[in-house]
Amino acid sequence: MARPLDKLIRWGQIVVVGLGAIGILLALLWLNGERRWGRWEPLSDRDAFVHGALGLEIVPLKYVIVMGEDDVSGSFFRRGEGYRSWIDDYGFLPNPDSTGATLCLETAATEAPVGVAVSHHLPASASPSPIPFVGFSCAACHSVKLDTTDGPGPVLYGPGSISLDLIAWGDALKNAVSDPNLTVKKIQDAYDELGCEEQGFVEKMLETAVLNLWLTGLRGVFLDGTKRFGLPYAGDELLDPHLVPPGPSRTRPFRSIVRVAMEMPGATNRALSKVPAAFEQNHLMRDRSQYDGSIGDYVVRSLIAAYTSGAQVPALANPAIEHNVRASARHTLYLGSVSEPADPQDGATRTPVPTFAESFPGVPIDPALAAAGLEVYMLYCNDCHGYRPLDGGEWRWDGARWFHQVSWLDPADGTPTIDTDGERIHFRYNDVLTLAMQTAFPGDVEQRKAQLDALKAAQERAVADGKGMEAALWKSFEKRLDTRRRMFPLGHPFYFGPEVLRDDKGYYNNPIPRAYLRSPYLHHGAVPNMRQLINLDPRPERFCRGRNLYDPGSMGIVAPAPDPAGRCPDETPFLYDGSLPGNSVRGHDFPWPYEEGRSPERTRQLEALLEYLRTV
Amino acid sequence: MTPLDESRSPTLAQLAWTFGPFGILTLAVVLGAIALPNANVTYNRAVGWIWVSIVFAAPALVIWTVGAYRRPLSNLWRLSWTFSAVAYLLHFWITQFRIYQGDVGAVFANQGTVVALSNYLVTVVWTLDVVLAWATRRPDGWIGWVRTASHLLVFVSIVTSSVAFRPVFSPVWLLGLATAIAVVGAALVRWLGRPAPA
Repeated sequence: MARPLDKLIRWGQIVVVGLGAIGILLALLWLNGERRWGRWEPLSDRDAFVHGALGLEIVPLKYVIVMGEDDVSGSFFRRGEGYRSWIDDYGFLPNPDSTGATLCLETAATEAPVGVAVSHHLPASASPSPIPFVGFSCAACHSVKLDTTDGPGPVLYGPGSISLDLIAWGDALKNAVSDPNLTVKKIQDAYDELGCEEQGFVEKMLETAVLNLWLTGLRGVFLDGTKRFGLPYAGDELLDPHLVPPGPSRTRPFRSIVRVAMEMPGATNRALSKVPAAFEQNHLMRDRSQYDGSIGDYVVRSLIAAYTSGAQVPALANPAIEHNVRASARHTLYLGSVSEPADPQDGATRTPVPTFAESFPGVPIDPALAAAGLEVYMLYCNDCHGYRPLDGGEWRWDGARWFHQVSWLDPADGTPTIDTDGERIHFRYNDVLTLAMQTAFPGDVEQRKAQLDALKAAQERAVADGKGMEAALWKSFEKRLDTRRRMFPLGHPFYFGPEVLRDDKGYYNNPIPRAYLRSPYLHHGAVPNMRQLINLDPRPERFCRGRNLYDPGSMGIVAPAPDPAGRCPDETPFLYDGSLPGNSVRGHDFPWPYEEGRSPERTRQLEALLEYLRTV
Repeated sequence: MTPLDESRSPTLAQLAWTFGPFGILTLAVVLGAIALPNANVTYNRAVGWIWVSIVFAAPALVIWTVGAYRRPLSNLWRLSWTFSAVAYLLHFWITQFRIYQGDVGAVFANQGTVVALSNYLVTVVWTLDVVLAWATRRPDGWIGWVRTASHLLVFVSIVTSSVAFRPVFSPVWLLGLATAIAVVGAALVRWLGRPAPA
């Protein structure tokens, strides 16, 4: 007869074997699920741009649907007195395909805001997920809605957003997710109240597990980030330009690069950048990307946009994400071209973008005045930007002496010769970022050898310059490269060579097709409209940003002035202050400085120039 | 004459010591790979399987070192050796077909000829040995040679890949070192317990 201890041991053994069997069964079920969740169909270039996930997944769709509710996370997105919703106040655009249905898991394709990319990718790794997560597509930042005083306008894909305040939204999200009172049950209960389709029992159980893991994991990530970068701002702080400098339609791209590529805070970085228009990025029109021409490959341009926005190196190797990055980059090659390319780069096709006349038929263009404006343009603008003929044909650059060249710095004081804000050029680490980025994506055996050699050379240079800590950093990047070599021994699909990035100090002269869609102007969005850019009107030192209307007359955003106390209206609650670092409204005084253009003749010339610029 | 290995019908206790932990660790590898901060699930699973492989190789190597050719090898050895090999084959499959995408040339280019060849050799010999362990209880003759070769190859592979070429005090280094110490200890026990000369 078995003793009680023997019985206990036997039962223990049965339990352990049973747990083993359950473990294997669950593992097989999960792996089988991954096969299903990870299935994907290649999106068209245009759909990849508008809807495609780029590895930026961060929150579950279910949370996005309910996070604005007061009993979930609503209070964490509030800022300013006129707050309505996180979608409105942070400048997300309503979905143009909306049917008016409630935003639910099953209606996200038509009801979620523009640029919200729904995928079955887990955050960070982009491995298959049983529940949908939300990241951003290119269109989140590269789309506008030209609302005027006459009423709402259409959503256009390609121009840089004039409303999206993504960095402030990111801080609000960090606070919302980190709220200790936020629970998975709150999320699910709030969703259940919406009256969406009911989920099955197993589906809900799985969702609960994943939501719990997500909430715990992301809180940890945010807490680690806080220890490196400081606390996120909250409430009205999110509208304070001293604390959150970019405001709507702008980013801090180099702070982001310093953070992701160099793993340092970048806190002092004031290089602010407007989200640019992504038109006509083919090799003839735009042989180098970025305002400083630092990127010589359109795919790497899109890659770096995703990478600096938070996509991790392994996630960018996910085949669906890789496809989306390449396809959406290809979409920009002939986005806005006026005719089909005879010899299209990489098989890209043309996507039209409406002309000014098509967008604003009620604002007729005077052909004679535009013709006079072309003469002014050819004298003062063509050298750098090239031109579009008055017949609306393809962009040309004959006679453009400095087209695709860098506006160099003044050797006397190091400021850009065109006198625009220099923070984008002179920020700390500018001279080492290219190597940090280039070695973040390992190549194949031979390419890695060159990457390693470059890192070793950088170490030696740093030591010779007395920069021991910098040398140690390069040494740590050797280790990073070695780790990633093990992950991607064939080379990361987005490896790029050192020739792709360059570190010229200056602003790159590029064409300006569809200039009316590039407002606010200059690389950092410092000038609200074209009248001010060409110095027909004085440039405001302070103006209000947010959900700005568009004024076709002045060819730019309507930027109200703050009241004497510096307060802005509810619709445009962010104060742009030109006296802050990175915000100078000076420079690019073409055709001439404002003070020199007050004569009737010059005013007439500028009016003509403005008319011509409506046609490009 | 070399004694036959133990019967191939495992007891509940033997399964509890091997299959149970293997199943639990399988789930840990599959799901744990998702949670690690480096965000590379495929790579993490490849690494996870090699850890599991070492965990099960250690008792099998110890049992074999103490008892080979002297006493029957137990089911515990057979099960541990099998689960270790299964974990290794999963690691091998992920590295060869997911990470290297079946490109043998790239394997040699990245790992070097010696390491790549030895990995392929370990895979073939170990797999053959496990098949033999379940196919026959006879451990002598050429089967004995295969078995000896597989155990030596696996032991050398563990020591070189997890101890010699890994950062000191990293988890896999500690795991490899513990295995090495256990096997050396087992060899010492075998030597001390050797039959007295006639």
